[in-house]
Amino acid sequence: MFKSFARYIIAWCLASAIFTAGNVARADDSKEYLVKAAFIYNFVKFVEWPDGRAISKENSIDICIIGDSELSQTSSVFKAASTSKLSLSLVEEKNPHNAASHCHIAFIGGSEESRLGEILSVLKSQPLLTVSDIDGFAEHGGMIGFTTEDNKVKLVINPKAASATGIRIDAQLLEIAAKVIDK
Amino acid sequence: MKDWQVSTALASLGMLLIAASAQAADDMNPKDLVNLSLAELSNIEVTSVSKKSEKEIDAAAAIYVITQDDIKHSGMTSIPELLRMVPGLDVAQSGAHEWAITSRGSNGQFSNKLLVLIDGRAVYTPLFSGVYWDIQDTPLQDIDRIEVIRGPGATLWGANAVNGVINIITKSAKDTQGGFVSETAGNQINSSTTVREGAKIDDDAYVRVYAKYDDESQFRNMQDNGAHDAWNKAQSGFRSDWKEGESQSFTLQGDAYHSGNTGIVGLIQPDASTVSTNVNEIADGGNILGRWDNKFSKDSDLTVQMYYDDAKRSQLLYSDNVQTADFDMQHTWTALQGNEIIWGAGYRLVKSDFQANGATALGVPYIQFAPQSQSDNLFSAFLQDKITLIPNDVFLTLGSKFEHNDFTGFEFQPSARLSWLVDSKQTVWAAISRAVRTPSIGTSDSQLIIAPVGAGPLAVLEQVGSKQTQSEELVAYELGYRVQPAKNMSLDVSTYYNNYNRLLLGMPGAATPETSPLIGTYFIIPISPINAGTAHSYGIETTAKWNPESWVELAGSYTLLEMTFDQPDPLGYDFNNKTPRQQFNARATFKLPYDVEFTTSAYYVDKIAAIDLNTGNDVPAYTRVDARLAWKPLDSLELSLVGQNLLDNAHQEFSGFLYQGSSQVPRTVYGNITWKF
Repeated sequence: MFKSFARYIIAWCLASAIFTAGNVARADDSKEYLVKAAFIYNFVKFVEWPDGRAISKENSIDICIIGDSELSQTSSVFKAASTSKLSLSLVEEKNPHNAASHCHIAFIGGSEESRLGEILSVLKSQPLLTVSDIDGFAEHGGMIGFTTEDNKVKLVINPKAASATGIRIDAQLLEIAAKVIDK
Repeated sequence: MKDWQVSTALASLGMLLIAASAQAADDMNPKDLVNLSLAELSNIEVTSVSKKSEKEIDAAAAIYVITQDDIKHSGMTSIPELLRMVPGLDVAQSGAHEWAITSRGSNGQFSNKLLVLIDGRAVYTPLFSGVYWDIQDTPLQDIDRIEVIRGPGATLWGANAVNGVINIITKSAKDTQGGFVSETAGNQINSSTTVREGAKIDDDAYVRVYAKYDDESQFRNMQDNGAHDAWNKAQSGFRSDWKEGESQSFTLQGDAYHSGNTGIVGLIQPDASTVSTNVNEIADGGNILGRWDNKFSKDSDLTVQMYYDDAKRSQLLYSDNVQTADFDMQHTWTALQGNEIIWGAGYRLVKSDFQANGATALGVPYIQFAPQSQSDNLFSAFLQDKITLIPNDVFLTLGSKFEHNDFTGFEFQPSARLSWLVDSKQTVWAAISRAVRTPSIGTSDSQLIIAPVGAGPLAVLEQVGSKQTQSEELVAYELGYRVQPAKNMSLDVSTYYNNYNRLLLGMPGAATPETSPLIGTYFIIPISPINAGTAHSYGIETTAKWNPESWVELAGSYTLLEMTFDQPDPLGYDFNNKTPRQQFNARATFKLPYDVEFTTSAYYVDKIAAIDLNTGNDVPAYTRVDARLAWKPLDSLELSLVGQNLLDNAHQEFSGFLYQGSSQVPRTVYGNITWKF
């Protein structure tokens, strides 16, 4: 019996070796974050920034990641979404104080959960769209939070937090939101 | 290896090669993604990766998590079967609905050093402090994950978490929205149907209800005749989750079941002959559980939980009814810099009624209970502090559980755990802990005829429960290492040395003559449990996972266990060494084009020495190979074909339970249709 098992294992190892021959392991694409990235691209289409930062006046847009997040692995989505008129790029921004000057969207990574309040208070009066998948993000004053419901990515939107900084979130986004926070 | 085994292996290899030559399914092409509408995006199914890993990487304990993906890919149809993939556990099926499962040694039907929880509810029968696995039948699709902690988990979980804790966690009602129907049929499963419906009450409240019915054929006994263990089971339940404001959340859930098995078994007699006996085994029961969680602030979180569980079972020799009412609270407090304090308290009332059904062997009753009914109180409290020794690097967790029970009085179960997060990819941990197993009603309050002995005039061993028994004690030393050498690869190694004291041994007393109308004079030798046993064990458990490509997942584990008992045990309370010395398993999943998935797994389990009480034979080593092929023609529809035990017609995994012969685990093939709406 042991022999047959060993043979089976050898068959596997062989097969795996054949699959991966000459193929350096590449970063694991996480479906969840690819979908989140596609949503963020849609935010660019369905969110209006105040006059000084209007998308129509820009030719490049920075989507900044504050902290660590698997979102940083999804630049291919933003590359695919870029056009000759408007290029979208993912930027890692360690310091939230610097985000306001060049970012349109600030995505706050899961690693920052414990300092979320601090980061939001720095970004509060700035015309940038705050997005995160930290639990209760929109409830705590963030603009768009991601949650998963039944293994699907859903939005929780806080339009008042957005309008306080002059950002307007289109009704089409509110319509598909799982929850709209009204405070 | 027989010819057809070779061909099975070659066929598998062939499939792997086909998989290799095909291009990986790439349904997540960035160009396609950005062209999707908002509605389409919010309908894509993803598997959430956000939170699971933190605990697995940092925990200062030997932890293994079975995810919903693992459940699906394995093709397994029940909770006990799923546990086969966990290193350090020994899972043996001894009948169509009978299982022996243990962690780190000492297996038996009522393997009694393992604590099993379903959503925080302890599932065990106090007669042997063991688990009736056949009634732990939560629909697999609604399980979020199964966390298995090997080694003493007593600090947080309490007595009987001596060698491990299995924590079955179901999904929140929020994550099981919509309808779901699953139908399975095959050579062993006549039919298995699960229906579930999830609904949203409002933005903050969700509910699901489910019902399932299983009808399974009998296994075959060692003589290749029907084992008469066919069974069927109906179960239904619900779970509701809701929030009040931002800080409070509630859960209310419950299940009810009825299970039956009728047939004729050969009841083994004291003179080693067999008498055919009708069994009408019925198990029914239900439970209801409520939980309230309140986040007072970001530093303070209180959970309060209550449940009631009623389990009735009538079987070959006796029937029992166990009612449990339990209250638990747990408070997490992190306001003190560098400390994460968790403390809690609980109370459990267990009311048990036992009744022997009057079956006799040669005129002698098999089992008697005295008293037939009793209530037991258990009070517990625990305190644990995770202290940051070096910020982000070194943590020391000190804690203890304090319990008072009606059998042995006050019990103290401390542990110290140290973890060093070498960097974000590596953790080294070490632990010393003490845990106890309290005596069960079986060893303190019952009489049981165990076996015939010797030649000449018939002598019967009779177990006489004793109120004097103390708890069995374990001191465990553990050391572990976890590493993620690359983003798509992980390795986990755990080692331990266990030192057992005060293990229960059977002590024979003076023989007394008795007379039976059938056989005349015979002798009864009383056997009393005494806490005189000592044992030690050591072992290694390793797990490796590797995703060489985004569409290939490989996983494997290896378990070594060496256990030595210092005294012979005539009664076999501890089922000396009745656990395989070595086990391997390996699994490969391929996500192929056209929404096809192929998984194959193999399990090798060493022989178990002289376990069969009835024949005295070893249970031979066996290799089990499973395969699953699934196709998802639509997002809402999945068809799968599963083959299990492909290498042999049937094999024995364990001995039969009390007075019954063994069953063999057969090759099974089944098909499944799953539809979501």
